[in-house]
Amino acid sequence: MARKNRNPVGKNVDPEAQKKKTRTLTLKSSDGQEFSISESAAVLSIAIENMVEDDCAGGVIPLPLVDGGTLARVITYLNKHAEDGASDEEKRKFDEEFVSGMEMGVLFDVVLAANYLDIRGLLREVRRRIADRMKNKSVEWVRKTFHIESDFTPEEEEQMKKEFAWAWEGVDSDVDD
Amino acid sequence: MELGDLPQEILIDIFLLLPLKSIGKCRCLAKSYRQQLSTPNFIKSHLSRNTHQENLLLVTPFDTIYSIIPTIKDDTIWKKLPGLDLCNWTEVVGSCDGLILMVLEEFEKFLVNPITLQMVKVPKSPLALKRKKSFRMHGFGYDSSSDDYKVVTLSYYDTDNEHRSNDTFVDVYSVKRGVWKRVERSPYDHSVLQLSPWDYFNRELSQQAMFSKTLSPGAFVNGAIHWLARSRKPGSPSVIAAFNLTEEVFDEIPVPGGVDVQMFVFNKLVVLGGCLCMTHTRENGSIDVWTMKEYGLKESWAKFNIHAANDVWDIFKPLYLIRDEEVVLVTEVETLVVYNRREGTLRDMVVGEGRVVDDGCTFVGSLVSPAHIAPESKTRSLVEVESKTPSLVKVKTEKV
Repeated sequence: MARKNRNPVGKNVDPEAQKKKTRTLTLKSSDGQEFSISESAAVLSIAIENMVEDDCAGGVIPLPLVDGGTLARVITYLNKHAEDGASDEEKRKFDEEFVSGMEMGVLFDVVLAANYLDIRGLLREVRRRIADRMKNKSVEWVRKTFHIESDFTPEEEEQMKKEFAWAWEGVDSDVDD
Repeated sequence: MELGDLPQEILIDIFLLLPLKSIGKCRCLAKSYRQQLSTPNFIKSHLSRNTHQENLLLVTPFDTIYSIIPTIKDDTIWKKLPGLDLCNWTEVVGSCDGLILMVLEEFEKFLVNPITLQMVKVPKSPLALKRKKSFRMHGFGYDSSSDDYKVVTLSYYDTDNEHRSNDTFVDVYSVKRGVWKRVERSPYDHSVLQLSPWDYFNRELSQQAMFSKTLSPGAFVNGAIHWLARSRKPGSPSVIAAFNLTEEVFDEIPVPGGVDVQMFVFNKLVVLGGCLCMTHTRENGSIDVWTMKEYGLKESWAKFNIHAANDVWDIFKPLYLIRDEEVVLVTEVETLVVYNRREGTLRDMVVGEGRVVDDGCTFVGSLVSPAHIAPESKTRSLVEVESKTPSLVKVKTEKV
């Protein structure tokens, strides 16, 4: 039996979607910068979507945990993913280029923002990029990059090297490509 | 900003994307990292996320173990596994989640993780039958219901083949609990394996070979370890007996249509690309490989033929599947050859320093530790007495 189509014109003219596209929201960063963004792009963030639904937005949405520079990056990402007619392949390429130039500190900021705003695609992409940078690097490199201090004694350190000898061979050059 | 400042769930998700060696190195960062990256939960999540690249482990007569690396080309990189090279391995029983069960010349069994190089001896079973008067075969697998790895040993007395209906004892070792127990005897006749003409002939020549190599290891797929055996029904038809590691009982799984039920007990069971396979050597030396594409489904058995007839050797068994395209095979003269399915061609495979291999198996790289035994009690019993068969078991207690 054919399913009855209640909306024969199709979803392209769904009035609610249209409204979201034209309606803009203002996002306010921790350092007071304001950014305009279409609602359809903003709600790709589950956290923002919830705020809009709960109508606690009141025009301006404050994001006290995201600084302006990071928020600008996140908005670039959201706009691309809300773009009409952007193919999956195009988005995939964009994602790759989007994170490829970022320095580690920026990646951290973006991964925190993506986690806070609940933007799963961006979170996945940045996580992967951070992991790619860490792959096969020496312990020293990871410590330096991530500002981690060892709390092992020199003896323990030697012991660890022995215990994890299998992991220490074949370390890549520490040049961060 | 430190990595440590990232919320733990993000941190763990990032570590889960790292290769094994990187995780090993990150364990050396600081104490908290060492702890977080060593929890069973983390190891399990990493195992389930990892793209399961199969590696190949081989034992050569130089008593050295070589492992390898993703795909096999002519420029395959073989590596020695340090620390394991002084052992006289006689059998590689099988692998599961990156752990391999291996048997030494002296019949000692070890669980080995070839990536982390951890090696733990499986305690000798106090239930084991006297070696010179019995035959045994082993299997190794994982029981998801109890989250435990298990070693299964089937054994039966050598009665000079007068009693065809030899009882087969089934002993199960829980890696987590460090305990052997004897479960109900197998309803099948497993003793037929050594009666194949080839094996029987061999027996006169090499007692050693009889005891160690000619008995087939079990093939672990889908929560069960599989052996070929004979039913005790009239006519003694061959069966594929599946020992379910959760229920710890045998069941039968459907066999390919058209196989000779009298004879297929002399075939071999192997695991290729995660599927249960049965191989049959034809008189002309070519071999048929049936693959059960969907576990338990009779219609899913598919057959391909490896035409490898030559005057020098026969194929012993297939070992490793490269991208569905090529099959690495062990020959009866203990060399490795690679068969290309599309072109129907064979080529030699050089392994490390020589060409000869004793045994091998595939494994996925993992961080799973072979030392799972919970240290909850200072003294533990090595044997757990099953209420069904109390008279069979003498309990030995040993200090740990």
